[in-house]
Order: sequence, then structure tokens, then C-alpha cells
Amino acid sequence: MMKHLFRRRAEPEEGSMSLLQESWMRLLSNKGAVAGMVFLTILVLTAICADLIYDYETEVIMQDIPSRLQPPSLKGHLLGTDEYGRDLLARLVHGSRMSLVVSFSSVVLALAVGGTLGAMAGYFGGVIDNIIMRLTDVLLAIPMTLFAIVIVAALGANTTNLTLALGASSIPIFARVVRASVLTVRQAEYVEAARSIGAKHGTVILRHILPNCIGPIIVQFTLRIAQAIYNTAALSFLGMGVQPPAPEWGGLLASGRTYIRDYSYLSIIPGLAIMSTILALNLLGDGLRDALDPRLK
Amino acid sequence: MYKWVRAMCVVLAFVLLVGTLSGCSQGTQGEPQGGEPPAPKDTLRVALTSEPPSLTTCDHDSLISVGLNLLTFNSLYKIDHASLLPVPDLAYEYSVENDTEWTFKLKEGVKFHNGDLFTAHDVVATIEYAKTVPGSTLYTGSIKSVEAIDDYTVKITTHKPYAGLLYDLGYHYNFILPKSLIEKGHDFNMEPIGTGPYKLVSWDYGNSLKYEAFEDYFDADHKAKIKNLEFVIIPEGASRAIALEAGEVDFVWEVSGADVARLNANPNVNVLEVDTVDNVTLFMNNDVKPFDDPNVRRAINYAINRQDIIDGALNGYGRVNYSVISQGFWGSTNKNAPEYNLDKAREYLNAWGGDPSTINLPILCSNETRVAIATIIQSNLAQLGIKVEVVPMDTATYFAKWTAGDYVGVIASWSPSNSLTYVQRFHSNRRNAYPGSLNSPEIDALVLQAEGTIDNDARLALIEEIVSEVNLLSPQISLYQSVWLRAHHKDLAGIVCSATGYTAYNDFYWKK
Amino acid sequence: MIRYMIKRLLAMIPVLIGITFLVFMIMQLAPGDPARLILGENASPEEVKELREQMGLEDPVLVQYFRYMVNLCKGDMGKSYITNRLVASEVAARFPYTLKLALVSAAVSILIAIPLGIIAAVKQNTIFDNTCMVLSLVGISMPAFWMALMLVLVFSLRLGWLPVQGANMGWRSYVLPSIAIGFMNMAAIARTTRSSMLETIRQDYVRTAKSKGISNASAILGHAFPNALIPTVTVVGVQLGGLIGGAVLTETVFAWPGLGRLIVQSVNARDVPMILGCMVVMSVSFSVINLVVDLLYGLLDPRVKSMYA
Repeated sequence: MMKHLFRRRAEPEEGSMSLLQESWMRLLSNKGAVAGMVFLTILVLTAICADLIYDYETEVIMQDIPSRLQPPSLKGHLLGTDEYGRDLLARLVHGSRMSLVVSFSSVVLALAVGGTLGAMAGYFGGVIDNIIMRLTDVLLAIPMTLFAIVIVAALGANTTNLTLALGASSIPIFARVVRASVLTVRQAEYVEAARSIGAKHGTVILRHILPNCIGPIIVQFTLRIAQAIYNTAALSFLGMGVQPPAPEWGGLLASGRTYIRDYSYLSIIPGLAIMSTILALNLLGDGLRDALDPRLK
Repeated sequence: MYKWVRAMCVVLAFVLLVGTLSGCSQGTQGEPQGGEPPAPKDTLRVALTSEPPSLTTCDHDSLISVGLNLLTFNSLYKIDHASLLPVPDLAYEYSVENDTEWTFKLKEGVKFHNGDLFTAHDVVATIEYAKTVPGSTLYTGSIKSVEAIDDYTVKITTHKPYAGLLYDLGYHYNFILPKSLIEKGHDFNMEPIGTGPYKLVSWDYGNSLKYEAFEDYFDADHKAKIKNLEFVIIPEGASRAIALEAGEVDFVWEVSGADVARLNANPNVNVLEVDTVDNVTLFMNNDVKPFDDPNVRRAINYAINRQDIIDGALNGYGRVNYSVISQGFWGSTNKNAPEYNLDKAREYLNAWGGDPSTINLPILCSNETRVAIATIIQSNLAQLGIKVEVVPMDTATYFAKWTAGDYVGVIASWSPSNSLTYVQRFHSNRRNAYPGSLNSPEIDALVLQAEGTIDNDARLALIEEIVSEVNLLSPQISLYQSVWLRAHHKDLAGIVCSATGYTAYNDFYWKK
Repeated sequence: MIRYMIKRLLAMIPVLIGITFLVFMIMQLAPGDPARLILGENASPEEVKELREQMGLEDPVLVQYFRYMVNLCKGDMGKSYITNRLVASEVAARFPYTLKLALVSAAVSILIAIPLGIIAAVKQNTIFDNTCMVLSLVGISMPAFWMALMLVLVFSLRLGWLPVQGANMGWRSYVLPSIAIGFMNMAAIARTTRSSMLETIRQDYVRTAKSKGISNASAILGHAFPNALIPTVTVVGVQLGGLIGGAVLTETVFAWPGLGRLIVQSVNARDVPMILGCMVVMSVSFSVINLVVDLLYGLLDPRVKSMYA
């Protein structure tokens, strides 16, 4: 659903230190992107330090029935407690770790598989290209959320399968992006040169082609993570993702939903967390695209 | 030129902001003002939690479907909603010879929805058909043969003396279908044609089902009093409550505990708490170490705080039960049942002698409530140092694992409609006994004896003995008996809800 | 153009075969025995085995797939494991609900978003522009299912204006679900319209048109807009496709009797024929939408058309 954001215009020119620096400066001048970066940095740090802030076993998982459903307050629980008396903030903090780990690893998986396929398709062309692209056609013809749901349905609902499912459903997109990038640089002089001096295919792809496609990949990566956060939450919301008692934002939303009428904070707060993270990633993604594509603005 | 757009934009932003803020603020200020249209007096609208999997009698074990089967079908003897004992329905009396030959006298002049007249031949055709349906053996397995003596007399022969026949005849598998349609291979799922008080009019998948009163219903006392009956599927608890408050439905079949206080405060709504025999139980695989040791099972039994479960997972709506049988049956007893007591739990753990931290109990759960229950058991048993793993899964995998014996712990509910069927499950070699359930030759002998005892009082004593013996062995742990919450418009009367979960909609009527 | 259409329609066939094959194979990985699922807890192993043979589950997977495809071509999608009803009739009953909701929300979001985008572009860097862009950025970041919950909270629970769920209250039932589904699309379409408008407004021919004394409004609507429409159509296409997949969540929140909710229920019950049926129908609609968008594309952009002339 965010594809419109990255309508490709042109590929970045060949990477050099100065160009990267230039891009970085352009990124820093983009207020939205900086705000997104700051938010994400804090979020990642929180996720890393989650265990230091709240103990998983005693504060995130262990129930305290007498203090269930306490509304947010400055004195007691800052964001209130859930239906089992667990601190919502503690669960949010540990939930961020879950959301980030699942999203990040699924996108890395998709990049690794999709990127390899795309690079091969773009570099070798011909039959290989044809086969790989027809395969991505099929995958792209299945709505992404649905595809992930089907995989989870078959393998069973747990965190690993969720990661696999989300990764698999993003593969075709990376294959497409990398292939397109490879196609544009494949004919470039330095690639021709490398090939003419007898470099191996693998070396050419890894050393000469991929580094020059890095721009669109970075942008796509950021935006796919946003998408993966959304899908992680969505599948957990449907009960097909991270399973309780492990906290995950979508799961928190799903269990809070039962109490939406009288304890609406349980559904409002996790949703805000999901939204702000996606927003931050979108801002950063937009900023990166503008920064890496000097022909804009 | 664009002023109005700008204004609209600002208004939109404002509405969103105010909306979210008002959402955040706690309290009850914003009662829905859905307005109450005058209740249409010839229609009853009922909110169901989910779509019935089937409207036929023979291919499901769903409570919702059986509830709807009761609208369109009848049986020879039915289980009375109040006493849970079999009472005459399409038959008016029976006699037993040689302990195995049961002769039923049938009511005359009973009509099916399609105009066919009900006779003994329909009974024969139905039972013979039911016996061919896979999965029906629990309800038809005891029957050896059925024959029509004349048009209104039918004889059923059982394989051996069997006290549960009347109960079995009251199960949906033995609801009477017209012979002519069975022979035609009629799809009873699309058109459930029987003798019941209501006829199906239409079924909008995933959304609603509409029924109409059957004018020629044979039982004048229980003829439908409200002409149109409509079921609306509303999966979310809060939504069902709101639909009732807004007058969109008149009866809510399952109220979520979280909504009771609010509904009680509404003068137009009455909430009913129905005590049931639905016994939610933690089954342990008795073949897996250390759960093969009754000491371990008893220790766990003593350590689970039922009240925690009821308060935490059920919003307070449930009845504590410690006995392996549900309370409320003819023959239920609490004898030897282990009540919550941590010291006793530790005593039994010591009697076992092992290290509690080596015990790992993964509990399979098929829905959210059960996950919540398992989560509470997890913290309960943590006090003994026993580790519990909550394993949520979809119903299909859950059944597959359970029936294959591929489990250690599983939460399931158990609600047969009578105490005999209940204790039959303690027999080690029944098709409905799973791998890992109780395996005790003494209990097996007692169950066989109870089944063959046609005399009611003697059988009752045997059932009580079985229950108290099984309580000592703790092969499984009863957690609570469900309290089902129903709610209805205050002008609706004649409401009967059974402890087995059914509702006789044909007896409902509008006051005034 | 017609050749192009036929070509595209034919190209859908292998894709559909691919989808069914992929989903069929993935569902083979599912644990649990369908026969056991159908017969329930009380059946004996013999009964289960007998049913497995009857259902053809003992045949090799490829044979099963081939049989499924042959039946699918005849319009037979098999019977549900859970309800024993025909998948085709169940899907046919549910699909109109999903389609109606998708169309309503698409219409509303397009009708609101395109004018907003144009105005924002024309009034670049004004308060209006900034408000719209901030809102749309929030819009594309807001999970639709959370949006749905918040709408229910405010408009149904607090204010009591609209029904909480279901499709039984006429037009009132459509308001919240279509906003929940459409808001993200609206945001996305508005953003794209704005940026492509900005690009075209700066083009020479628009300036020329203006310099010829054509009024501002007609320069924008008559010259800039049609050209700016191409990226917008792409986004609309992507978003419409997203409606089909996104329906899963929104329909769950609103208990909407459409395909999205059906597939979630079927997944939970591991009702394989039903999952397959839903996937086939949803993927076909997804492909058809993409096809229509591509055709529109051809109409709008002569360059695309000439490629297939």
C-alpha cells in the first residue's frame, strides 16, 4: 500500500564518497526524516535495553489479577494494566522488541532471497530472467497479507512462521527492485570492463553491480520494514502471529479490543505505537529517497 | 474559492482529535443513543456468536447447530431443558422387554414441513441412515436394529442391556428426518425439513438466518408463539451488547462477562445467568512421565486456584468445580475432590519425590479464553516450581494432536447431557477415550456395570461410586463450570435456557 | 487495444495456475487430517481412513491438484470440511459484500482525494497544503484495523451514530468500514496527485497555455490534470488491489460477511477447500483490477497504447 511512495524516477549515479556525503547532508536537511530517525533510534535503543527497563518474566508475563484493568495514572502504572494486571508500558516496551525483530529479520530474509533472484535475473537475462520474473508475477498476483496468512495457516501460528511468511511475501518486490537496478547498471562501462578482464559472474555482481544499486535497495528496505511492522501487527491481531503471553503490538491491540468499551486505553495506546513507528519509517524512507536521488528538488 | 475545503479539512481534523480524546476519557457518559424503535411484535431477533457450521442433524457436534436443529426437528424422546432427563417427544410411551427390546408408541397426525405424515418408517429410515454416518457411533452404536411393527409402533433392539438409550435418542444424530427425503438424498443442510416448530426461510451466509413458525406443529403447548425468528451473527461480545441496547436484536445468546454490569444498568434489558453442566477441564496425558503418577496430578489439582481463573479469565462468571463430573447432574458428587490448597499440593509433590522444576506442562489451547485460563494456571503452578507452557493453536491441529495422544496438557470442555454418558468416558477402551486418558481396570468394570443397570437407583449409586473413585485418581482436573450469560429485551417472556446450552425459542413470547 | 486486452487476459491464465498450485502446495504442509477434522472427536480410526479414501486424500498430491483444477474449470471448488457446504456457493454469497464495500470506499476515497491533491498542489506550501500532507502522512501510516477500532470507539460506542458491525443496517453499515478501508487510500492518492500535479504544473506546455491567456483553473484542469493523472491511476490501481487484501482485517473488525472474514475463519478452522476458494477468487479479482488499471493507463498515455497498436 505504500508502493506509490517509491515510484522510481531514476537510479542514483555511481556511488562515490562525496556523493554519499552529499546524500547524507541532504537527508539531514529533511526535518521529517530527521524526526523519523530520532524516533527510530530511541525505539531501537528501547528494544535493545528492554530487559534492563522491565524484567520479562516478572513484569511482562507474570499476571497480577487483583490489579487488573487499572486505567493509566501517574502514580501507579503509567499506561495502566491489562486484563491480567500486567503493566501495559512494560508489554509495549518488550512488544517493540518483538515487532522490530520479526519485521527486520523478515525483510532481511526477503532481501537476501529476493535480491539474489533479482540480481540473477537482471544479470543473466534470458531464460533465467524469464523464469524468475514469471515466478514473481505469480507471487505479486496474490495480495501480500493474504499470502502471509496462507503460509501461517499451513505452518501454524508462531513467531518463526510469521517471520518466514512475511519474508516470503516480500521476496518478489525485492526481486523486482534489484533486477531493475541491475539492468540499468549492467551495461555501464565499468561493468563491461570488469567482465572483459575475466572477473567471475559472482564477483561482478557483488563487487561492481550491487554497490551501485544500493540506493533504491536502501529506500525499499526502509519502506518494507514499515510494511512488515504493519503486517506483523495485522497477523498477530488476527491471532496468526506472535502468540500470547509474549507481547506484540498487534496482539496487545487484539486483546485490548475486548475491553474497548470501558477500557479503551488498551486499544488506543498499542495502535499509537504501531502508527508512530510506521510513520517514522515512512518519513525516513521518503527522506532517503529524496536524498539518494539528486535529481529531485 | 477553496475556503470551504479548508474549513472541511479543519473540521475533519478537529473531529478526529475530539473523537480520540473522548475515546480516551473514561466513564460512561456516552451511552449509545441508538434510539429504540418499537419492538416488532411478530419477530424475534437473536444474536449468535458465530455461524452454525451445519443445519443438518448428522455432520456436526456444534452447540449452535444443535440449538438450530431443535427448531426444525424432533426426536422420539427429548432431553428436558429443566430436568435434563428424557421426556416423550414424537413417541408418547415406551416399554422394555428382555432388557434389550424397546418398543415405542408414536404420536399420530404429526406432519413434516413438506406435508409428509410422520410414521414409524421415518424412524427406521432415520436411525438406519444415522448409523451409516461416520462419527455417529457414539449415539447409534448401542442400537442393533430398528423395525416398524406398524405405522405408529417402532421396536429398537440394543446389542446388550443399555441404560442410555433414551438419552441417545435425544441426541441430534437421531433427530427424525422424513424417509422420502432421505431416500432422495436431500440436502438437509440447505433445507432442514423436519417436524420442528420452525421452518428455515433463508440463510445469508456469514450474516443471518431467517425462520418462520410452522403452522402445523404437532405439539400445541410448544407451538411457536412468535411468527418470525431471525438469527444475526455478531462475533464480538461488546457488539452483541450494543445491538441489544440499540434494539437491533431482542435476545443475545451469549453475553460477554465484560458487558454484564452495563446491561444490568439498562432498564430495558434483563440479563440471565444460566448455570450449566459444561465442565471445562484440564486433561493431562496419563501416559507421560511424571503425569502417570497420581501424586503429581493431585498436586497440580490442589495448586490450581479456580477462583483466579473465574475472576481473571471469565470476568467472574463461572462456578468453581473440583469434582471430575459437573455438578447438577442426577448422580453428581463432590466426594474425594481435591480443593485448592497449596500445602496439600506440596505434600503430594513430596510424596512423588521428584524435583518440581523438572516438570514441564505444555497446555494446548484452542481459543482465547483457554489461553487466558492456561496463563493463569501458569502462574498458579509457578508457585510449586512447575513450568507451564501456553500453546495456542487452531482447532484442527488441536484435535489432531489430542486424538493422536500427542499432548501433555490440553484444556477442553466436556458437556454430555447426562451423568451416564459422562462416566462412560472414564472407561479406558471407548472410542471417545483418548490416548493418555484414565486407564484403570477397576473403573472399567464399574462403568460396564453401570451401563447395563437399567434400574435407575442402582445405576445412580454406581455412578456416584465411579466419580468418587476417579476423583482420587485425578486423571484430569475440572477447572470450572461455565455460567452462560443470556440477555433479552424486558418485554420478552417465556425464556427457558437449559444447563446444556439450549434455548427453546418456540416458547418465547412478547408481553402485552 | 483489443489485441492488448486479449494478450493480457491470456497472460492471466498461467498466473492463476501458478497461484492455485502455490497455495495448494502450501496448504499441503498443513498438519492435521482433514478426514479427522470432518468426523470430529468421536470417529474411529477406521472411519477416518475410509473417509480419506473417499475424499481422494490417499492419492499423490499432484493427482489431487490436477483433480482440483479440472473441477475448478467446471466451477466446482469442492465442499467445505467444516460446514459441508459447497465452497462455490459460499464464496459467491460472500463476494458481493466484499466487492460492494471495496467499490464504495474506492469511490469515496477517489472523489475526495483527487480534488484535495490538486488543490494542495495549486496552493503549495499554504496551511491547507501542509495540513493535507500531514494528515495524509498520518493516513498512510495508520493501520486500517486500528483506524477501524477507533472509528467504532468514537462513532458507534461513544456517539452511537452508526452500527458497530454487520451489514444489516443499510447504508449506515457501510459508512465506518468504507472510511476505515478508504482512509489510507485517500491519503495515498492525495499525495500522489499532489506530487504529479506539482511536476506537470511546472512543465512548459502548461506555462505556454497560461501565457496564452487561458485562465488558471482551465490551465490546471484542462492541461495539467490529464497528464498528472497517470501516476494517480497507478496508485489508485495499487490501492484498489490493496482493498482486496486489506479487507481481511477490516472485515474482521466489523464482522462484515465478506470474503476477508470468511478466509480468516477458514484459516482458523483449517478449512482447506474454503481457503483455496477464497484465494482463487481474491487473486482473480486482484489480477482483474490490475488489468483494468493497465488498460486505463493505455487510454491515458498514448505511448503505452502505441506499444501495442
